[in-house]
Amino acid sequence: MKHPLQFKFLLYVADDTQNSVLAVANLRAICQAHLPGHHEIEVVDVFKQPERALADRVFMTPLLIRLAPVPVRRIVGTLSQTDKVLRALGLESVAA
Amino acid sequence: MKPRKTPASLEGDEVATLIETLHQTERRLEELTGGEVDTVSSGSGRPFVLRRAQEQLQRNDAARQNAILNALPAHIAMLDAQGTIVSVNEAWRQFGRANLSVDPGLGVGLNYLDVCDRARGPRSTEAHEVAAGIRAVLGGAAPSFSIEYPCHGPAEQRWFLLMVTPVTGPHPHGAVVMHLNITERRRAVQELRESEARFSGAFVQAPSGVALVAPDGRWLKVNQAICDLLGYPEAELLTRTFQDITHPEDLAAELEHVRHLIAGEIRTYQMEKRYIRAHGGLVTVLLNVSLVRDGSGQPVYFISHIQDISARKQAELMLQREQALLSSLLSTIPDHIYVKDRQSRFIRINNSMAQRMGLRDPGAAIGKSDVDFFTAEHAQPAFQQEQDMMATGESIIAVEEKETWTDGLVTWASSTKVPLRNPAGEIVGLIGVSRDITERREVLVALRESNEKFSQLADNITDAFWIRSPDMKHIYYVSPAFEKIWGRSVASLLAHPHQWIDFVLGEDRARVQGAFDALTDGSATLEIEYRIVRPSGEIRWVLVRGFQVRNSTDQPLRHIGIVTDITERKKVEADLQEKTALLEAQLNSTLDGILVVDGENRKILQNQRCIELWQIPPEIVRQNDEKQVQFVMTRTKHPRQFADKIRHLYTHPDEISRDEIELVDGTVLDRYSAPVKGKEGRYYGRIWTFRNITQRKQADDALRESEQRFKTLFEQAAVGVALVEVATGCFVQANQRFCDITGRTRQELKQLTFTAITHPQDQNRDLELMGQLKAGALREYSREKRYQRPDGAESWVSVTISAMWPAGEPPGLCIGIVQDITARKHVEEHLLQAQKMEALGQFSGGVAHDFNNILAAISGYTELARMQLEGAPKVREHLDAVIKAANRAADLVRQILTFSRQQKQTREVLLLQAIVVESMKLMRATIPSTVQIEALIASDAPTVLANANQVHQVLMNLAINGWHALKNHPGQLQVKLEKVAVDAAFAAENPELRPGTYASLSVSDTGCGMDQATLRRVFEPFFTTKPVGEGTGLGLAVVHGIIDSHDGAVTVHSQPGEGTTFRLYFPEHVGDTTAGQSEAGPTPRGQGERVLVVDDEDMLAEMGANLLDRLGYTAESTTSCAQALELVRADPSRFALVLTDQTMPGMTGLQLATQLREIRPDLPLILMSGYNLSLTTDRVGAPGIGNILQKPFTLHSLGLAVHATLAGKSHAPHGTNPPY
Repeated sequence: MKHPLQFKFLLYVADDTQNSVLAVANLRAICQAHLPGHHEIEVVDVFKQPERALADRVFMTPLLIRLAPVPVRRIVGTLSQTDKVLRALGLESVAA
Repeated sequence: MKPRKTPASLEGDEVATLIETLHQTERRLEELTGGEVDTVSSGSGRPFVLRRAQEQLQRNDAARQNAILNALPAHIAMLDAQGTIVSVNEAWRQFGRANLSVDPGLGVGLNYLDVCDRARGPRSTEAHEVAAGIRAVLGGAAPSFSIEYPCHGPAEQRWFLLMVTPVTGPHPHGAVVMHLNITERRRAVQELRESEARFSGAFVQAPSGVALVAPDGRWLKVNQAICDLLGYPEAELLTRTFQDITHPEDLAAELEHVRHLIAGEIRTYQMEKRYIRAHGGLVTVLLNVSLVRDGSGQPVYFISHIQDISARKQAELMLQREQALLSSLLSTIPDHIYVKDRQSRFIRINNSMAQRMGLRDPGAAIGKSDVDFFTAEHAQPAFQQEQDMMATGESIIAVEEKETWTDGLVTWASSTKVPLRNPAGEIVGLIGVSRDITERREVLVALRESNEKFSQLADNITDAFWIRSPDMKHIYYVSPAFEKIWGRSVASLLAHPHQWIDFVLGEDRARVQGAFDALTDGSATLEIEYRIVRPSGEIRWVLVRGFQVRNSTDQPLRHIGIVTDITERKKVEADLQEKTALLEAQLNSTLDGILVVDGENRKILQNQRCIELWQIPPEIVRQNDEKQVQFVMTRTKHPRQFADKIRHLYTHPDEISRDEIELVDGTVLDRYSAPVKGKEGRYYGRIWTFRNITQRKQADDALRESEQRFKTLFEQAAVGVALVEVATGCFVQANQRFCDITGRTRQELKQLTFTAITHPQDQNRDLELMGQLKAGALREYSREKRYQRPDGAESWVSVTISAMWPAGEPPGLCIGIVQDITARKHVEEHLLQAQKMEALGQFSGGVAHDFNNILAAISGYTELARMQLEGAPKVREHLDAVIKAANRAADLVRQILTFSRQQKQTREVLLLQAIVVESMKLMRATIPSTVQIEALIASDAPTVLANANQVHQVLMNLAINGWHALKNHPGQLQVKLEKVAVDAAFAAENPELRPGTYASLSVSDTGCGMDQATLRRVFEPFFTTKPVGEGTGLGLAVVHGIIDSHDGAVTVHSQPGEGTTFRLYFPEHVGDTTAGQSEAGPTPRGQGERVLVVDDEDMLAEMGANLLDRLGYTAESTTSCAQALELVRADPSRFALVLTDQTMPGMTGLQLATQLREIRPDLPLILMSGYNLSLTTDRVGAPGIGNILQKPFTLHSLGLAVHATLAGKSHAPHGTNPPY
């Protein structure tokens, strides 16, 4: 099934800490499986760009922000529970 | 600003509380986030890393650094401020493990400084130095420290570079110690140094002068011997040219030599010349010069070997001077000198004496004696005295005597007379000297001095010098240098003068003896180089120059010889000759271009051929190596590959490489490169050789191209081509077409002989012909033969076999050109068969006609006899039997007539589908249920022009044949009707067919099948495989006859055990569908009236509708009577007519008709019937059946029936004959 919408993700991580590494891997896997060809992922390290994290009000890492499609959604954690993540991202129909 | 609390002022409890809060906060955060969060941040945005994540980050960092450290080849250890080893990398550990016996303790926890401090023994100095260096770095006194030190393992010599750098930070917290193995570098440097030392040592310490001189004459390099010789310090000499310091008199000659050398007219020159020494004075040398040229032949420098021959020269000079002195003494000294013979007659007198004697020419005195000049007073006692002296041999020394001249003059003279001996030692005369007494002392002193000087010189010159008798038997004098050169004592030689020849090297002896004999025989001078053997066995080269001293009568008096030791010169010469020869041979006697580079890949040698091959312009040859490489690259077609190869080989010194290079002009060079290695495996550089292989390459290419062309020709030939070894009959090669024809792969063919794949019946003739080919009786033959394919099929081929070996030579290969003529053969066979069938048909048809007439007579008269017979029931019974037999005979004759097409049959345009369906019903009724019967009927099978009864008969004949083929076993029969397109190829194989569309009707069984022999005869009349009495042998003959009369064809495919398929082809009828050939009048057409077709057979219902559509009606169909009723009930006027089958499950056509009439009494109806002949129009008239249509019907009969029924007429059903 073709998903017409372009998904844009912003993932805040903290260097290569375990949870952050997991979150990056999980996000890429989810996008590969459910949004092939229509997603963008930007990974931002809070140690390298603290001012950006502050502007985005990032209080915990890893933090995933879905920038598009609107509304913006924020998910904290390693994104390991795929079902919940899909629901949170509004991708459950795709998953089914 | 608030005053800040210093840590000290914090209460202990408060700190504890704060820490506890911190921990609790973290724990709570971990709980809340399920451990999935690494950082949290305050409102200020500063991320606060949770402890767990923090630890993990640190571990990651440490691991990363460790990995980097471990990947480094250097051995690295980290020291703390006290010099204790904190950590080491993998290289360090490996080294430690490998060298445990040497440095057992260099591990973590040890103090590096202590280890160094504790070092004792030969390497302790370096260890202490290292300790001091590390301390300096640790203490901040030095920014870094490094040292190279030896650390020899048990098996190898190693060198290390140790570097100490402080750990960065505001103040030193420790240091990093790195050991780098620099053994290779050290070794290379050391080897270079050794090589240089060896070379320069040889050069510097050479006993003779060796110099390199630039073409313009500048001294480029000189050794100590030259400096000593010329008296210049090296540095000063190098600022001058040889011209500067050459004696002006020798310069012109040398420059001439140089000119010849540079012009290449001579290879070396040798000359004696004089140099002007630094502080005045001359030095005479023997100079040998050779010229070194570079790869392009340009002079690079001269190699000059300079041998100091001043001493020799001086000796020669001395001798000359001595002779001059003697001569001048004789002629100029005032003393009277005379030589007398045994009779005291003058032989020779000197000038002074002649003058005193009043003679103008001293020769005038010869033959005279004292009495001629002196008075008897002096002459008489003098004569006596002389005679006594010559008799006794006792010389008269310095006897003062009074001379009374004939002219009255009296002089006093001190007279000395000595006997003159011949070489035999006999006294032959005397020599006398008399001088004025007044001047005597002076003259004597001068003479003594002169003698002493001569002796001194002779004793000190390095050249030996001898004087001996002309016959060589006596040696008068030998200079002490003899001892140095010969290594033998002068005394021993003098004692045994004849031994001198024994000292000459055996192989030179004859030559030397000859030369000396020549001198003895009158040759004026002698110059010869030969070898002598010293007592130690050592061989030395000497140069002997000798000359004769003759007396006034030109008699040889003595030989004088000067001997120079030229051993060194000879050695240098030999060396040079050998090297030159070797080099020239290597470089120029080869067609290969040769380039040699040294260990640093610098060109050190390049022959002219190399330059020519690459066409390198001279100006580039003279430039540096890089220019040359750049130029060479422009000449190659693939410069990058060329350069890559060079780079690769320079980085892999051990590799030997050979490849080909293509130049832009098409030249192809063979490039070979190998390392130049010494005996001990040392790498000196690399040699490259280039060879022009363009022609060979072109030849190769041409060959390959030709081979390819042949191969293509061979492979892609439209005919089969095979090579066969005549001796064995085995296939050597075959092309694809041949494989296709024979049905074998190339691999299979290689294992087979031509006989093995040939049809058994054709093998003998093949072998016979091949035998003739082998014997030379035939060179070529052509024939038609059959191959047996692996699937059992035959391929008919036309083969042409030609011998490939020259006539008269032993048989080799033959080539076979093979054309597949199977199709042609097939057609031929087919035609043959058709002709046979035709003949058989005509024959049997003719017989049958006559026989039929006879039969008619038999049955007619029998009938008559029977009618006229009264009583005699037995006879009537017999006549009945005759009539029955006659009927059977008539039936048989009808079949023969059918086969022979003698019977005229009408044909109509019809669709075969209905006939097939009808036939199926009868088949099912005839054939037991153990045989499955299946029909596949395509609705698109085209209309054909056929006789329905005959088609029916054909189908039944084939089906029954199939059933018989099953031989009472369960099996399957399949009847298939389809539309097929016959193409040109298929038509060519079956001459009865033309390309186009056909209705194909086939009958297949799963029975026993037939072999080829049976297949060939299957359609022949009276041919049967059934036991006698069980079959007439006419079934298939009838099929053949019927199909033939339909302009169709019948094919049969069968394999024993695999069943049989008969396939009938009926050409499509393309004319007007209504134009029946055998029907009178046109087929009536409809005006779009709606007609309903009811038939339980889906196929027939559809076909009926289809035909009606073609006839201009609007047809609908149904297989259900209920639906038909419903349709009519819903709209009674919907249909103009209903066409219904009689035999249907549940309801017959009549019953349906009755019910339809109840709905609409005037509905026209047609009843279709297969074989229920009991139905007649009259009988069905009651329920209102308009017509009965006999199945199978034709388009024409359908059209007539429908038209008649609609018009309210009764149409006589067509085809009243029973189909079977």
